[in-house]
Amino acid sequence: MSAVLTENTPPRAPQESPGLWTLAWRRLLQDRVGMVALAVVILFIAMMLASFTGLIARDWSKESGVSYANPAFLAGQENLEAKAVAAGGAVSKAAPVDLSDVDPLAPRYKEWEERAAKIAVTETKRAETLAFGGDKWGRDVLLKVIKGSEVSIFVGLVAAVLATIIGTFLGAMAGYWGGKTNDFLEWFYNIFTSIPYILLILAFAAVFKKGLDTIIVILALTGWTGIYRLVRAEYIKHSAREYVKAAQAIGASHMSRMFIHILPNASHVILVQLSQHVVSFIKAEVILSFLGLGVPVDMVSWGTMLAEAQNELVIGKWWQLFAAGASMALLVTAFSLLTDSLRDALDPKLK
Amino acid sequence: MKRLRLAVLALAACLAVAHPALAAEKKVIRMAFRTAETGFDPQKIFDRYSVGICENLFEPLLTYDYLARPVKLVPLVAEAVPQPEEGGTRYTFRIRPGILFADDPAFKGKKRELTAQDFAYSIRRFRDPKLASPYEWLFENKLVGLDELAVKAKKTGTLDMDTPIPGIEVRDRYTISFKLVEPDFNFAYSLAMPNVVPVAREVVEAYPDDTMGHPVGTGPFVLKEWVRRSKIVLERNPNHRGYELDTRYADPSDPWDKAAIEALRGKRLPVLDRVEIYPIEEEQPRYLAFLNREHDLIDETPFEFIEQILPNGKLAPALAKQGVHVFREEAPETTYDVFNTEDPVVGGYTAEKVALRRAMVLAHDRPQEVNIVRKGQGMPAETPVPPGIVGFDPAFHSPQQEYDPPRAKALLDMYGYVDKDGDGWRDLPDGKPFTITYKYNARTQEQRQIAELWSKSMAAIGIRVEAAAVQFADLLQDKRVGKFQMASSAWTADYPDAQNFLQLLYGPNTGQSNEARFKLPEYDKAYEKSQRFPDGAERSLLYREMNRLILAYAPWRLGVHRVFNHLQYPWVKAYKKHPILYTNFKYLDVDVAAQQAAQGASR
Repeated sequence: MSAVLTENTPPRAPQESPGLWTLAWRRLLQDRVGMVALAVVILFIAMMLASFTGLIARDWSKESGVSYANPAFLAGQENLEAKAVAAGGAVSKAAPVDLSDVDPLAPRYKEWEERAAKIAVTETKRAETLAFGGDKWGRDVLLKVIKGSEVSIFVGLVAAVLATIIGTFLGAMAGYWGGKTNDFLEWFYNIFTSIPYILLILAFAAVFKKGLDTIIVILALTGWTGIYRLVRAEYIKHSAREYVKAAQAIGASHMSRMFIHILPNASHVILVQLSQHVVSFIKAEVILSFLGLGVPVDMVSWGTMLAEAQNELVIGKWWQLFAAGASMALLVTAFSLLTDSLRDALDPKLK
Repeated sequence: MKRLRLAVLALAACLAVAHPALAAEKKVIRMAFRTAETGFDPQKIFDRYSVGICENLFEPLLTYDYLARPVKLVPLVAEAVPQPEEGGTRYTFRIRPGILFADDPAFKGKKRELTAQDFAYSIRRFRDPKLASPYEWLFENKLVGLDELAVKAKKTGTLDMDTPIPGIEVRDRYTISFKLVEPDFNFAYSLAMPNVVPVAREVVEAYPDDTMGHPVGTGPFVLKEWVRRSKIVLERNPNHRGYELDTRYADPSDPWDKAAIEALRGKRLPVLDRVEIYPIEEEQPRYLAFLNREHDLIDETPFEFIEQILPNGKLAPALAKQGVHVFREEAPETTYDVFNTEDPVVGGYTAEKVALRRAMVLAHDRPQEVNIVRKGQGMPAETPVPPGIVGFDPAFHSPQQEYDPPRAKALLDMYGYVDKDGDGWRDLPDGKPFTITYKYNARTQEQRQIAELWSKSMAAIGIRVEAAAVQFADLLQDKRVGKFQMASSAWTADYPDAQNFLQLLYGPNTGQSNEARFKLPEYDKAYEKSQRFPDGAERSLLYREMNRLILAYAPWRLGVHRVFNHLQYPWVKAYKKHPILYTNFKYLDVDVAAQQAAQGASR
């Protein structure tokens, strides 16, 4: 029996080969750990945005509980600190001294009394317990954690983006141009990395005025070096490739070759670096605030909460440390896992 | 053979070091200071902690009895406490012969005896423009002829140290007599201050650029090692003559006095061989160093841990079991927040300017400062003068220093400090927005909380206060030169008289101790007049007048008179805290066996 061998090829659907990003996304979707981590990170960012826009934790600074109010689940525990505050201090019972003959404000005493009488005093009742306990002033620790996330995550994200931009730009310059530019930037890089990292941060912190923007600038200015090296290597590798030569042949300018042709092909490295730096900058902010170089006194961040908590732990008020520490641990872990998954997903060799 | 002998010797040496009985000979005390020191040139320093070290390195003419309460002046290198002569304008001292300075290369290998000339030199140093002494005021308008020298020195840049002046009369090798411009019945007190002490001219001239690091005095200890801001080691001065504890003024019914007398009976002071001091500004590590027995005692225990140490006012069982002693002290000191009265925003003497300061005082939540930050370990101050000081007025009370936000708001509204641009913050009467910067010591949580309290109390009435953290030494410097708007401060008695506190606002002391740069003619007049009276009804009246002016013009927000808790392990003997002197090392003893047993067990 003879048979005719027919070429039984299936009808070829007009197949669109998926791009790097689609493939990466598909790979990420299959990574269960990565997805959970992503969900946690998104949740934190949503919380930060909600707090920033004032949807939640708007009145975090309101003193709604007694000093070191117990968490709701420890309602029965003795709170010596609050008891001492309630007992109050001694008040002088002596008759008030008359100042009217020397006081520059004396001519308007009467008006002053009248006006003062019109201003109502609202006495708020302080709660004995708060959901997750209170701090020294009686502020809700849970609201503080949410408000604190705003500073910590915002600083981490913005500083990481800035550091990535600086690192990428300088790396691209050095890698693409080579020669003198490369030598100069390498020299600059070597100087920067020869100073210990924390010392460099502290030096910047001592020079600049204190404030949130300063912390961001400091972290960005000290954190770009690692990214620079990696991006430089990518650019050296890519600038000799055929597609770049082709782009040159059709007349693409240097700038367009650097940032339109090569950059997308190095972007997986940059993205992974970005998320790694977010993690390390969140930690750096905490360290800076812990050392008293960070956020100003009228703001709260996880770092300032941890700094406050070092004394509180000795007196057995562990909830502020736990709340801030646990949130930070959770976010940092989730971010690190996400970075891991991203790296796996974005690596073109792992198809 | 020789080699063998060497080896045997080395072995023996090793054994000697390792042998506990031999090592036990050294009596060492370790402790922390709550703030870093600045240096040890007695005429140059200002902070209590550096002066506290100088108490051990130098000796003034007079000092205070260790045990007597209320405090009592006693002679130290002088033979007696002098009686005021010529109506309170002359004081004559005879110095004990044979008192030696500690050895120093500047003396070229010879023993150097203390003479009257050393006092003359050291007191002149206070007026040397090169030193810019923060205690210059002590000898301003005080000694006949000294002001003229100082005026000349302003032109030439150096003070004439040699020309005799009638105010400081060196009669012979051991006799010095001071002639005052005006009567001053507190003058003897200033000669008991631990920075009014003799330094040797040879030493100062040998280290002209580093007098802070080369303290050479006649005191019971010498500075053995100094790592700036982290370690100070004192060792016994072998040249010191030694003395016995004076028990004449002790209170036999006081348990601390009894214990001290018992512990020091028949012993030559100082007993300690070595004192190690570690400045630790953060509260928690300082406290833990004590709990872990790395330190033998802790002075001024951080308030934060008060409920751990004295729950419900009683020593905690865990500490009591270890035999820890607690010395509670109502310290003769006042904390305050100072306004720079030369500042264009918070300064000034017109009703409008005064109103802003007064409103800030009224709106500052001092009850929270006392109860939450200081854990109730303090008494709200009514005047700058703390209790336990001559001139303290228990009947003085004013609602102007009480927390009363409605009255603060009313006052601001009345004088035009209202929100004109609608940003939620009040503006100046001329419509300009303003922010006040509050400077505080960066390293402690307690200070941060005080800054936080200012920030939130002022936010509650619509005034923006920004807190700026600076190092303690920089804070002192900024306050001295007026580089601040508002800052935290505290003052501890140099001598037990109200004058010592009221001078903090005396106009001519601007640039030294008058951090507020407060210059009010009525106040200055009352202050000058008060100096001429001994303690009595007339002087009290003047003091009251000055206190009223302070409240009316509000150059300060008065804080509290703190109550300190000093803890010691049982092997620290003869401890008693003196209200004026900061340290008591020369009186302490230590039970080395108990110390080593306990510290060995915890390691």
